[in-house]
Amino acid sequence: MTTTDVTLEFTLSNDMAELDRLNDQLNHFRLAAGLATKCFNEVNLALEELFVNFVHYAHTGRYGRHAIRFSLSLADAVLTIRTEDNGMAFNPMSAASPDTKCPLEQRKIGGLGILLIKKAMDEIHYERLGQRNVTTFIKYIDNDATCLEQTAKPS
Amino acid sequence: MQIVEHRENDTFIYHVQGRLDSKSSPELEKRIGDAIGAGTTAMVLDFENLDYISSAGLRVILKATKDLEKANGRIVLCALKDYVQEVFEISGFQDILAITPSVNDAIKRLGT
Repeated sequence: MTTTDVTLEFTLSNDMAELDRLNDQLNHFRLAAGLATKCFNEVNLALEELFVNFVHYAHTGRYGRHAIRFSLSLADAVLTIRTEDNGMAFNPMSAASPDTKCPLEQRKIGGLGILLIKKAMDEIHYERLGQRNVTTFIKYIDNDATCLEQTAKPS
Repeated sequence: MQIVEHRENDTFIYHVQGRLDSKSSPELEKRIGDAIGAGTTAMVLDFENLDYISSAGLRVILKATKDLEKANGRIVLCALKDYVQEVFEISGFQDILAITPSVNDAIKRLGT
């Protein structure tokens, strides 16, 4: 199943209630692009983790509403997601990975969001431009493999 | 997200349907917390109809597991869909949680 080239842009503010809007926008994108479930879930997960990090950490100590802009673009089965915000400098690539091998008692959740983002995306590029974090994520869409996976299992 | 609860003897079974994300996971956290507070020590989370999970959901599950262990209880997860299974594998949760294919297997596992 091939995907359709689509572009979508939207802006959210640093409020957890906006998670609904993120999901709505991503659903529009999924339908327009014809993204298969597994691939879409990976994108949804990465962007939810990113957004939640933004709400919790990007403007620690500052008051007021702050915005994060998302630009999604699917062209020739390459998905490019660009996020831009004026929060504290944050490069996802430099965040420490959590220890996923330690036993239950010591296991923590911190850092898991970043790990999931890194696994979901094929490339991550970060730039600090003035007061802004500009991050570009690239995912190579393998829609056919996910379609096969969906049809292979009887429900 | 919907949580359908049923009991078999002393085991609480939560059938979690839909999405377990940053928005919905507090509700599951509360249900589990209330049950543990009321003395439940055997719990099954049935994920047969769970379509999506993010780190917020993993947090609730980790907390439930630790809290139950403190109370000499146990929790078993079951029927994870492929995508959910993958998130568990990436995060390493596969190795520290009890996961079975079905509710019946989960109940048996709790009995051992």
